Amino acid sequence: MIEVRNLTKRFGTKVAVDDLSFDVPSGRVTGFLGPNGAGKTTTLRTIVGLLHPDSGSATIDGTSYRHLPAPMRQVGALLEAKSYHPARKARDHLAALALAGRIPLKRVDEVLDLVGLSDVGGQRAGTFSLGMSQRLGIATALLGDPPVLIFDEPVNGLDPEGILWVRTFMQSLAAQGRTVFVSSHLMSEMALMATHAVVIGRGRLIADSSIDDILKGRSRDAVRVRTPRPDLLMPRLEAAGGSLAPAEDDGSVVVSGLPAERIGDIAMEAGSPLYQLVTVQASLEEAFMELTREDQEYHGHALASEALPAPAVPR
Amino acid sequence: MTATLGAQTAGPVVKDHRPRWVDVLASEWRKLRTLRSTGWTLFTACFIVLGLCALVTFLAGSNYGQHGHYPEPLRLITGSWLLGNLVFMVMGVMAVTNEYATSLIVPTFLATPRRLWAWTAKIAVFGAVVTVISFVLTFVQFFIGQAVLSTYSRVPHISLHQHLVLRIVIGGALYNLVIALMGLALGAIVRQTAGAIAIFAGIWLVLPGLFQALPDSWKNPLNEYWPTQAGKSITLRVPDPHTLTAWWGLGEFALVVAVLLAVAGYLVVRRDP
Repeated sequence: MIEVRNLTKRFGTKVAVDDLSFDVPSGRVTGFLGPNGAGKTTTLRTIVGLLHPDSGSATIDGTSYRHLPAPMRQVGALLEAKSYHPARKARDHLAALALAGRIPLKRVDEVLDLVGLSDVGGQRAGTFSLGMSQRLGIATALLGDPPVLIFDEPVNGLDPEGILWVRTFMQSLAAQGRTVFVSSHLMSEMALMATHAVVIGRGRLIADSSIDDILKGRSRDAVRVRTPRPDLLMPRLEAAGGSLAPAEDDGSVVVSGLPAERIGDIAMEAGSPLYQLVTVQASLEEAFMELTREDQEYHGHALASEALPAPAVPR
Repeated sequence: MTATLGAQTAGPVVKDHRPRWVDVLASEWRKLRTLRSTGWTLFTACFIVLGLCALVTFLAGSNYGQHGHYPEPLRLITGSWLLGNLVFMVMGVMAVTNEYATSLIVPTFLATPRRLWAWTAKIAVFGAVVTVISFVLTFVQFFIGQAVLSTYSRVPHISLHQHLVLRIVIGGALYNLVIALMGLALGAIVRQTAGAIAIFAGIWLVLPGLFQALPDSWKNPLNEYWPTQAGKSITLRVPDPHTLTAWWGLGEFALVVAVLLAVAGYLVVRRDP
């Protein structure tokens, strides 16, 4: 269980993480979503004690990372794929870290096997592709067989096969009862990997709920309607409070603000036949864009007013 | 998926496997000895240093006594040690900055969040290895120089049994050690190879060169107390005017470097990597 409470971290005058609070419980994959620069990496680095928070706290089972008695056996983290000396062999890299964590060296071959790098353990890590580096990073995180695992963008740079491997691997770790916290900016990937997501934007919490709820609850009611008599139906829908998107090629119109049942009733009253009436579920990307829209609009606004000084008035 | 859960969540197991400082020490030793490429680079550098020592003493021996110039013969040998000093400086700086440059510092601090342990273990392992290398290299340098100079009958004979000679060779080895540790400290403070080496060279070579342009009232105390200058007094058989005595000089230099190591340790703990 990871607990983040009122966490704030500034870099100079820039606030990277702003009063952020959330929990990551065990036994499921929790996604950590946000656009680039939202503060995901800063938050993860603060949880594992690499960064000092300006205020607030991040704890693992009630203890801050720096005070864990045996950190590698309690938390495993992959923060940067290529965090090894390129001239050192993968096996030596893992052995050096295992020694620091007082982990038996036989565990090195076990984790190499676990991530499918057994055959290349004797190679210099510098010869590894990005995908192999990610696997080596995951092996590092697993050295202490910890109950809490943190991965920052683990599918970055992986091929489809690698992505599938990471996805099932994360899920099997969670199925064993571990806490698995995975950040990504790939929303669609997260919908497949995680059941729950913490969404942040500009350092602040935007949502902390199941992926299903994010898809359903936060996306506007949107219904695709196709009718041969739009002239009859559409004015009534607008009058009832629906807003209409421009008609698409097949003549269908996406109506938001009205549930499908209501649209069906209105169509019957209007005497307009319906060829199609489908509730459209937003993709996670769309839901995400909607969630973060306010922040982005605010951001654009603030920039514009700064960038455009008042014009000088000629006398 | 052979990984198992269970035991790791229980408190006692974690407590029994609480890493100790010696575990961090073992980790640092493992890191050092598994960088074979670095070992070969170092080996090559030492060979160049020894070759240069032979060349310098050869030239000094052939010119000895010309123009009525009879320098103190031991200085013909110690004068060739500068390149060796440079190797130790670079070793010290790179021992730290390579971890920042490769991001290895991230898993290192994840494994050992008690960063003072990581820092002191690195000082201990690096210091021990450098001590061995430095003593071997400095003695071999001395014997090569001695052998070359002994072929010139006009150069007075030099031997370890003579007054102060053993102290000077041991002192030269210790000077290398302090230089290497200063490199380690500056590497940890600056966290960037080129910057740390530039600052080191400024403190050690450029500034003392500039001192010579100053009036005596400034120049003499600076030559006497500037740490890298003071440390060098251990390698002089006949002290120059305005130098500290041998052990006081090296002691002052070592003290300054100890303070630098402490400052670096404070920054390692306090700063975000």
